[in-house]
Amino acid sequence: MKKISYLLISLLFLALTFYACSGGSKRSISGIATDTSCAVGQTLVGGVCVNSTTTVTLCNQDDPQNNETDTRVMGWGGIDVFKMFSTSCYEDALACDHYSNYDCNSWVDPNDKAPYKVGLGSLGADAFCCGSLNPNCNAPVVSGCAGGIAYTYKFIKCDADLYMLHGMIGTVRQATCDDISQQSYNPLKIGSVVALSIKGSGFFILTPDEDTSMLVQMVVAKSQPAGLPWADVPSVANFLTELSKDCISTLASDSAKEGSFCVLNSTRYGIELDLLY
Amino acid sequence: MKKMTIFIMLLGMGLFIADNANALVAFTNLPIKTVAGCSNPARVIKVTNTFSFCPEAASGIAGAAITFINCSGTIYKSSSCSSLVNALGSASDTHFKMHANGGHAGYDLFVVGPQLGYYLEMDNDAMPTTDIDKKNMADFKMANSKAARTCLNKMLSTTGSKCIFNATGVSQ
Repeated sequence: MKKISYLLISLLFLALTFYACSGGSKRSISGIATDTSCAVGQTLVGGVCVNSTTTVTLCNQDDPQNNETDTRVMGWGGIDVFKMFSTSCYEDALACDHYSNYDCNSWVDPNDKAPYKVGLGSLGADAFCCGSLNPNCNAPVVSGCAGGIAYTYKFIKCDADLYMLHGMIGTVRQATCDDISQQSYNPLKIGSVVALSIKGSGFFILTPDEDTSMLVQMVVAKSQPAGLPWADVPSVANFLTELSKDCISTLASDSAKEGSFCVLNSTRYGIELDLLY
Repeated sequence: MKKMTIFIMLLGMGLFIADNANALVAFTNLPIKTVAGCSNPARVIKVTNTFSFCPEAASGIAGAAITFINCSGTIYKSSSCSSLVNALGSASDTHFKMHANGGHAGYDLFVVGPQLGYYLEMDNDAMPTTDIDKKNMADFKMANSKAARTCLNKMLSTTGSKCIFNATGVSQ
């Protein structure tokens, strides 16, 4: 009789354990709605439906574990900023959808997006010359191949216009609207008429001026912030790309505040973003 | 048999605790330091010629829920417009700063106005140890980071709107 009692108690705890671990005990994050109120591919967070970061497909990623000759496997991510040159220069970014519900093809025919243009001309900067997706499409402004150098792009809203500054992190990161005319920051006035379109692991900044239209491409081969475990690459790449695009989109809006910025910083440990809305 | 029962009990409790440790994000709110008191002057963010702030917490961890509200164009750390305390500044001059990277660290959030600023940290109770728990934690931080951005953007632009941060995440 004693053994039967123990057996029944054991079965009871087993049932409770399975109930707890199968979601039966979980709380709703917001208490406002349930997951069923979000569209496919979205997750309810704080009462807001957001795109899931765990189920998307990532483009342009090699398997770093099995390709030791690929310079992208060194444990860092990179940010490439291209001015438009030809489709061959950014075909990697066009290879697949980032999120299925984004308008990914708006760039294809610039006439359909007038007055926005796909720019022509010289190529822009590469965060790490060793880390570009397509070496033929890069003209790195950083001489040599110093993998430990951190390179920074700072998009900032000044006098109702959007500017991009780029250079070494130590100087560009702290640049303000007072500094946008300093040539050492490689200033580029993007202007006030800006559209953004996300595609693959990058996004396009389209303007009426072909010289200021560009592609910002995030490359995450591995992501391991100092002292921390490796992070999930697809989730990270999509998250950082989307966050960057949303930040620059916010800056481009009329309501953006003076001095707001999006800093895209590439280090040997990965990509970091500092965003001031 | 008795030992087996105890083992199953402990196993069940362990799985329950581990499961919920990654399901929660605690937001800890702290006042920020003054610019003059910033431990690293290089960290000071100059927003305009008349407004800079130091993105550092002024004191130790003090976990608590926090609500920001837009009352007639002024932002307060208050739960309702009937109690107008802790004014951060006008909505047009109040910013929020986010930091994001590819891992678990650095998802801190600052909500700052010319008069007052607060630091909120998204973190859960325990550092995960398994790969799946680490991934779940990073994913959850990313999702909450986006929810915070959406909510704060709306709050800053809409009078009467609020953002509530507590141990379960962000809500409006």
